[in-house]
Amino acid sequence: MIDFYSFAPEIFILALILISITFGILNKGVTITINATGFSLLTIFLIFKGHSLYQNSLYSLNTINLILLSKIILSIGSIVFILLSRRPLKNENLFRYEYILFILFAILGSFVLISSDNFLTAFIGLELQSLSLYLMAAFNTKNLNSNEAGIKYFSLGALSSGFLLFGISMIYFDTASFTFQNLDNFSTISEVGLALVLIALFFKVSAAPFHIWTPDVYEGSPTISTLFFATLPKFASLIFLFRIYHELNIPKIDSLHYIFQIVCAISLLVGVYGAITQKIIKRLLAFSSINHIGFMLLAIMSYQYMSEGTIFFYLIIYLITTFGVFSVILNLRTSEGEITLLTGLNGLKASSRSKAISMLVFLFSLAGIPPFAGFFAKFFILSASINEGFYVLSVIAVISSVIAAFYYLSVIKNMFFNESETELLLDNNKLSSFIFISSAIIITLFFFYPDPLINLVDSLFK
Amino acid sequence: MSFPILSLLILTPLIGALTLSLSNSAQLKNKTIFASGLWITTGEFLLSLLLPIFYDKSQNGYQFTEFHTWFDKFDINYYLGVDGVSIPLILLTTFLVPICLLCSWNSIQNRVKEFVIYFLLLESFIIGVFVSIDIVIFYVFFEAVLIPMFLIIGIWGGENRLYATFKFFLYTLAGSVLMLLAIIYIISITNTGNIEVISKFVFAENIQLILFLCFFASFAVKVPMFPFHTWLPDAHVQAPTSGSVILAGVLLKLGAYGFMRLSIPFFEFASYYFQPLIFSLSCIAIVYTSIVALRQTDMKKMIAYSSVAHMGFVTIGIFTLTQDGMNGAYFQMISHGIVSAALFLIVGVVYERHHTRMIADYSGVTNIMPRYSFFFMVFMLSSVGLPGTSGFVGEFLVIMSTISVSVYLTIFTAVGVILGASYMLLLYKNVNFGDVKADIKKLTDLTNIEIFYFTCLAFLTILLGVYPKLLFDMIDASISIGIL
Amino acid sequence: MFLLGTFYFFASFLVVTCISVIFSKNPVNSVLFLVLAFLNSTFLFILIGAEFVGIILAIVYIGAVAILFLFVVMMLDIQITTLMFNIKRYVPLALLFAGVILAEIIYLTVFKSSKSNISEIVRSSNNTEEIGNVLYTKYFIDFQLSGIVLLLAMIGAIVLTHVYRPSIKRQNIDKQNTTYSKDRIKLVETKSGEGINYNE
Repeated sequence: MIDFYSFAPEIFILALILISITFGILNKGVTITINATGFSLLTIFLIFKGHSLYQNSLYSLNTINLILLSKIILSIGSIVFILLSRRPLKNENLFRYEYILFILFAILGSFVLISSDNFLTAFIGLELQSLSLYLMAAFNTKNLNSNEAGIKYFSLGALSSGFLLFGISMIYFDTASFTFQNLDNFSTISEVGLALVLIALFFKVSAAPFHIWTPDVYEGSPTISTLFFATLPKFASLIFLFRIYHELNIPKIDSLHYIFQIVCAISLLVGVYGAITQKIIKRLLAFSSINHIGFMLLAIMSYQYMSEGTIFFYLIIYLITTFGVFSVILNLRTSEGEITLLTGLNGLKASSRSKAISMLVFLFSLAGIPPFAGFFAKFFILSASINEGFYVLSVIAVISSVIAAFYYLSVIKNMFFNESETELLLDNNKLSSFIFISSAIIITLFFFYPDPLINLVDSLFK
Repeated sequence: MSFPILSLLILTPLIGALTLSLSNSAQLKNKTIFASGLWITTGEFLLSLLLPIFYDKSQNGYQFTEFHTWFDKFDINYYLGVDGVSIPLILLTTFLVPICLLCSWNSIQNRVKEFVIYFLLLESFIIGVFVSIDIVIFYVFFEAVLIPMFLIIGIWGGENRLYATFKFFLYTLAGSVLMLLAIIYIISITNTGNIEVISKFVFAENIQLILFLCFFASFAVKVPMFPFHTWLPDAHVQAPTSGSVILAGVLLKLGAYGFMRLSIPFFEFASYYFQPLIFSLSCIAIVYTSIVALRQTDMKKMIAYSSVAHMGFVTIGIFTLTQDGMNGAYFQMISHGIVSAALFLIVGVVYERHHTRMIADYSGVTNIMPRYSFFFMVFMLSSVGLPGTSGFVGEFLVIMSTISVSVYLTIFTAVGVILGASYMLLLYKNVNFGDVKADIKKLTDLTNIEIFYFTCLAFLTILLGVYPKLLFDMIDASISIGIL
Repeated sequence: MFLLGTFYFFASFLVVTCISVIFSKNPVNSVLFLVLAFLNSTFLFILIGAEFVGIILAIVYIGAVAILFLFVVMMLDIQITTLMFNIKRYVPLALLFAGVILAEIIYLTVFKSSKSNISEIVRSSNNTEEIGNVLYTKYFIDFQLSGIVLLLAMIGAIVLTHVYRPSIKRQNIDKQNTTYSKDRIKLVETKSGEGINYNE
């Protein structure tokens, strides 16, 4: 008998989708209210009653906690994102209720992906998530760049889905099972299949060398969609990657372990190498995210010497920083529309002090320079990877973060040293101001008091 | 002592900066902002004077310690304390920052509030480096210093400031991340970040060598030692006067302090092993940069190169690994902190009036600005190492200690002293003597403020030169027990 | 013997039609060959006893997908020569991929045997029933989720293609329902030869 209760969060989101479809036709604004409320309820439910969901499952307690924690973070992120999306969409004349639907579908896909116990469900979850992302990329149908981004994302994403499916079918051929647990005795076919699955996942989290789509899609999509790509779905895919890595015991399979290490190293380097010459903000952020994916892969690989608390510390800091950076950028417009070039940030210090200083905090935190939380995030990962014995990777990681510092500094240079050329229309949206200011404060505070967060997460995993 | 004086020293400028940044800038006049910055930093200076007063010289180890747990999982704590080695450097910092603000009183006109804020942050972070006895906190402050300095050079610097400030930041960062890896490795082995504990830990010899080189990369860039020194002339030339003052006066000492506090106690074997390397690099630095300084046409660049040469003395002294050498090197550090800061101020004075730093544009200044020439002479002679000034004591002790190590070393350092004398005298002659050029005539002599801070600096120089025991009393015990 | 002969007949026919799909100059022919290829694979499925999959293939791919292709091809004005040019450019890459996949298949069929129980399902009397059994029990969640994917695809297609043109007149049911007859119809008496002034 199927245990429907363990699907309660997913069913709840499905209900939200159906409600939104019904009410969205009548009133666009109300969908935002409904969904924000809905996700708040979901968060509360997951926090207080989450454990009851998986009582009958075969998962270990750690896995259950991992799943619950990720879902809580995802639903909090969705609340913020749904509330945040209204203003930028209105600015671009794109405010339609379907956008909210896509967010819901993507989150539903992410939920399914995170809690799946077999490859088939994971595949469908991933597809559900990706399909909504393609649509969000192409949402600005009147803009050619947005169309291009959508098509690029779709065609490359379809290719990666093909890899995923092929890999899954190979594993099924070998083991006659879709579940993760049954893969203890690996043969070559499963290994190849798993490699293909990993490639598809690397594509989804935009790890190099499977990152080619990232800069183009980030640049072309509406900025609010870019924010979404960079945060929640990527987070979900990473958690899934993390689960695969440990539940299938990939470190024991040499060939796959090498693939992981190589991808990690390439991501670290490509991320910084590509970003240096970029003149467009979103492309720069795309490459910067590739670099950070490299760090996250390093974290996944050195998991043994790292508590869950420190991994989640990195992820949470990354999420908060990205939200902060984008909510600053979304707030900056000229009379010709959104700013796209880095030179558009010129003289931001003079025109808006709070935005410039928040950006400074975010960028230094991304670069991993104290006294911001990004420093400890990287510190923990490096510490774990040195303990694990990844000396070369650690050296590559620190070298990459020095080079990364260069381009973060040049953004700061634009904001602080240059004079502005065109006048910025400051779109003083209270909500996004609140988000970036509080993000900056949180990032600074977490540097001084990282312990509460780490201990909170660690207390879940025993 | 339960009174948290060290935290207070770190927090005072920080809180000052915070209050300033929250105040409404439109209503405040530039002078008010400067004045409030000055009040804060002077208060900080007075506060730091409590340290030598209450410091118990008869006891070893760290005093005024403060301990707060930071992480449960790692033994990384908020652990502060000072010993004889850190106190003079703290005093030097708190002494120089008000002077930096004073000298910018007229020259900095735009974005004054930010300027004062960055200086307060800088002061706080630098003091943090000197008071931390946890390796991670040390690193955190060591890195954080870069941020305000980056902004100071980048916003108020000369024409080529972007190049200079990026070079400064990236060179230093590249060095420090290697140190970060080494620190992480050390913590993973010893399971603690406490400097005292790590000093007692003996690392395997081959590991020591690698770790030493990682630390060396960071500190050598900061000092700067010979092949890594190229950022310094650029940064100095482009930085505003106050930036140069704090850079030469305190920031360079961070590297040397790091050698004394971390490298040598942690890696004793490696320190002896790499002695020849460091000596040769330092000798090259002394002779080569002195010769380069001789050929400079830009005053600031000349003094910047002289800094590299003087810091060469410091590294030689430190790595003789003898009490005399260490003492001399330390004395040289403090002396150089005062003198080179004063020399950059001297350049700043004429630059503010004449808007050029080229030596060729000046001649016969002494006829127009007699007081200026007087102070210039005092600091020039101190930089040269005239007996009776602070410069003499340090150089003398270092040279003396080298004899026990190698005579060739002595020869090289002595040559360095002669070269140093020649370029400084040349600079002094070209600027102060000769015919008075037409456009020099319109220059005005020192203002009262300038006379005030030059007098303070000159007084210190001569006091330390005549009565070096003042400093040696403080550092002797700490160096012999804590480091060697 | 008869079975084997039929298999080779359809299999070779399938390969020939696949090659024709790629190499026919006219896109319409291409699609028609595609239909033929699908038909052949349907026969192959039926041959191994998987009649349900075979029929589904025929219905979905021939009945829906291929016909949609045909519509698209007919509506688009595709330059045949450029298409052929592109194909030539990608031949090496295609051969590489084909080689890899061929090697894989040979490896799998010659050296490995599957642990999966597909053949057992197929051998049972009625595979429609078997598929229904697992689809609505074991894979129920996946089945429903696929439905959600389709819902998303539908909404997405509407969003991407739907263009709101203000110039087109639309029926507004709300407005129609909330009006009264007295607002719409006005009875006037006209004297002959004078006509009506509409605005009154």
